[in-house]
Amino acid sequence: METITFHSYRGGVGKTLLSVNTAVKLALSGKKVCLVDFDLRAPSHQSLFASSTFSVSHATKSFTGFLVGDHGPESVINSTNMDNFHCVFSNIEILQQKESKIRTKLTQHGEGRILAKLFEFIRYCNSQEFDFLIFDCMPGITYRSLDALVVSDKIMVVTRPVKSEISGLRLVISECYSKLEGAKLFSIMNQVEQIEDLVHTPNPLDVNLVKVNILGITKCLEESSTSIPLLHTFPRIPFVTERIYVLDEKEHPFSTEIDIFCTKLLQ
Amino acid sequence: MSDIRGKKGFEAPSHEDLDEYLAQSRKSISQMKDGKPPIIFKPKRTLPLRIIAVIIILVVSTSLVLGGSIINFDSPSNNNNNETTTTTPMTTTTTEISTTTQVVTTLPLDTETYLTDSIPKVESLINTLIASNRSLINPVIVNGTINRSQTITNLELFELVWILSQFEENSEWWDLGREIVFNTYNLWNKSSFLSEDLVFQILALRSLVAYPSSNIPLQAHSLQVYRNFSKQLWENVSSGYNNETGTFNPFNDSQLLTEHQILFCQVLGKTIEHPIIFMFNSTTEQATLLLETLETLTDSTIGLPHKFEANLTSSSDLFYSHHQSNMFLALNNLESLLGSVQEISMLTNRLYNYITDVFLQQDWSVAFSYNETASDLSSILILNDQLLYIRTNILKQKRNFADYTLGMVRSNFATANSRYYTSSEDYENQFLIDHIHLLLSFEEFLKLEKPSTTTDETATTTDDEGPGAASYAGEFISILALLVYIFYRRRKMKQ
Repeated sequence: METITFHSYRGGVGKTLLSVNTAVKLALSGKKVCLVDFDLRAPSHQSLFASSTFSVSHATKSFTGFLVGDHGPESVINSTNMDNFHCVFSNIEILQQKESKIRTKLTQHGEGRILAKLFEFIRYCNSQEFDFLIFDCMPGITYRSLDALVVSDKIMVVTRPVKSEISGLRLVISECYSKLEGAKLFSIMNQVEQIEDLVHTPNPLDVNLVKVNILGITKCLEESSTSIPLLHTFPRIPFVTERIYVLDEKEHPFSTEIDIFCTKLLQ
Repeated sequence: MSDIRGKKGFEAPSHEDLDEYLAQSRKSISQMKDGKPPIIFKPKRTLPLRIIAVIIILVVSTSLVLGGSIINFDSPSNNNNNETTTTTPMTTTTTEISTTTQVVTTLPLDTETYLTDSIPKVESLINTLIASNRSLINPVIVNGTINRSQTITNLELFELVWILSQFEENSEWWDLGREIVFNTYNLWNKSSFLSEDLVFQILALRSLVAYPSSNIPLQAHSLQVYRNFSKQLWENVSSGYNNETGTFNPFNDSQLLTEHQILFCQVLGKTIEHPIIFMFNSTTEQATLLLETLETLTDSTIGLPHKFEANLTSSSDLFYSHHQSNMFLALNNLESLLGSVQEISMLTNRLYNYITDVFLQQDWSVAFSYNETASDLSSILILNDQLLYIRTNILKQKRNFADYTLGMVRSNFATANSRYYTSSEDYENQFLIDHIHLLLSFEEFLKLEKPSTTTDETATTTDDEGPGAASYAGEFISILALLVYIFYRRRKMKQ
């Protein structure tokens, strides 16, 4: 089984859309996949799946509950109308309702206990013969995102070519990614502007800025002491919303891009 | 950098802590991959200079006052010279997990060899405690001498039978329990039990149904008497069961005890093996209702309380680990009645997580170690906790936790000169029961599947044949040297 984590230095770069569509696509190609919503502070998978034609079996328990020891790994994995696709949801209620001790355990250092639970979950998924376990991780460097990164076989670093991203990416590489051992790192550049499809002529200043930003990200990745090869560049496609395109609209340009990405992933 | 660190309560590590956290995480994962328990690593905290100075002064002055003999060579952990059941030299692996980690484990390298060697000795000790014709079990040990004048009580018999019945079918010890019930003590037709209180009656019933109906060595007429007697006991016991809350309240109190629910669970777990005595539909319903109650009562962070109110709210601050383990084992038996229902797996997970949390959080010398100088019941219960914890880990296939606990039990248990052995007449039969329980744990452990790798790269092997004074002196000097080094580093950094 391969454990893949989608991570980014900050939120809003498209991790969730990419990870969900990738997971479903891998399942459509015959792989047994388990997708985990590991953005504990802003979980969104449950609503995303609800708005799709996807049918998820009655959601049982949340992953957050598993992490604090409320229930076993088997009760957090939801089956779906696709035999080989399973998903795991998180909810923030446990953070709001439970006593501060649990909140502390989840949000702070945790003394390695949450890491141990993650490992237990991976071991369980392994025993269930999943081909892929995919974590949609919370952004930034928190103790919990570190847990997910440490247990992963592959890390997909999702970036967007905007100026503020470049310095952030440089920092997160030197502070975090360069210190990870064992996991293979890949980068994904998301929402890259495409000049070809435009109906209006863009301002040359904007075009130049986009180029500079793409170059900046590329340079940052290339100059990094750690190898983070660019696996795929996703073009910015207007009106892409939070949906499972690979299932609902197989001919959608975004679905096509996910197809290509998954092919690269499986190579 | 601050913008990429934690938000909304999710804490981010400092620059220094991040390196430490990653290093510890890698180490923990590598341990877990080897089937060992995870490392619990605490955030790095530096001690104030003043406290370090005070510690150094205290250590140095204590050592001067005691003339260098700060180690108590008579402590329970240094009992190799006197121990009768563990005379074999043991090789142990000491794994020290960096300076910031709070857990230092000592894993026995060769538990199998130790157990194979120890089992005959423990068996021999039990046989010494039991009369040769097995007609009377009354080991009273006063000042190291076995005295047989005290008659064993029925309650002690019930406890013995329950543990003996859990040995492998048709084994010597399993057979002994069956003999006690159906032959030596004829517990199966003691109608006087019916006039005792309901706790006594449920304990009696538990002994009677401990062995499956196919293994009852009684002839037709006697068998009918046995069944009628058991049915009557069950009828009486059931009168203490509340059909609305699913609780067993033998004394009709406003406060209920968890140990009574455990007893009820244990009996329910056995009902499937006695279809003539029990009504399957009714016991299944009772078990389901009781599970719901347990779910209400169990909290993943504190487990099952010692007591609770009739409205199912906790009414006690006491949370005994033996309650968690006993219920864990009872729930496992309940599976035979209800099948693998989700509630059982959820509850067993909660209970196991709680006791493991105690195991990981607490210093074992406080949480589980046997206190040799204590002569009260708490020290005995702590021994029982250890044995139960071994068994829960065996059931959970957590070999390393079981292995570690066995190591603790081995070093603290069954010393010939132990005060536990001689101090109080009240608990001598507990001594016998604990030894039989110990034997059961040993045998269960040997059946546990062995992982492929058990050693750590960082482990250092030491020969532990005897605690030589030189090794303790060395240990003392290294501690002192470490403290001086920390003191020096702090000073240097300040400069």
